[in-house]
Amino acid sequence: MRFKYSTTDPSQDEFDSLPRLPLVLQFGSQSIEVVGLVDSAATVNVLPYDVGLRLEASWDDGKANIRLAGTLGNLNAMPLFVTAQVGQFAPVRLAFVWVKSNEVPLILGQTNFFMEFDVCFYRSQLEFEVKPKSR
Amino acid sequence: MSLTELLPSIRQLPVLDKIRLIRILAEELDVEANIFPFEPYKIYYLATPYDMFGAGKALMDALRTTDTPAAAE
Repeated sequence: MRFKYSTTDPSQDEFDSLPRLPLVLQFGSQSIEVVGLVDSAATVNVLPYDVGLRLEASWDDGKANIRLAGTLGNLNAMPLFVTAQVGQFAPVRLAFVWVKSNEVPLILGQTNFFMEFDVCFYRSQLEFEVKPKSR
Repeated sequence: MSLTELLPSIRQLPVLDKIRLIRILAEELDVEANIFPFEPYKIYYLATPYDMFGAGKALMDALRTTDTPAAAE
């Protein structure tokens, strides 16, 4: 399934376009539509604080024993396991590190988005392709 | 009851129930240590410079400038 690169603000142009993927996240009985940045340079999936709250997840400082470092600075995070559906593909379980910050995009990274999906970037066409991993 | 005994019954379930069963079992397994994908206290890195909007255009403009004959001399 191919998707278009997109921007998030009218002030942005083609050069600011990024591979953003619409998907549905489900946690317990809550189901929400989100858009995630497909980021091969991120070691993990990252969930902003407000998205976790929209899923009615409960933040637990005792479980926030994972640390994120890099361009966003240092953040404590806790694991959150969510069912995710991309288009008409079968739902998969995605493991997110949930951070207590909204200054972070929803990131789909190597663990485990890229472990569940094969991704091909066609930047020259402003498109990218996502398909379930080969069995 | 063993898996061998259970399988014939499970296979008779409608497709939607099979998917529900997979999801329920997956959710239970998530919390078991042997498949836990994150290590407590480990540091995970995000290398991407996020929200660098405008930088791409500036870079391409600079590239075009260097491509002009005057700049190449």
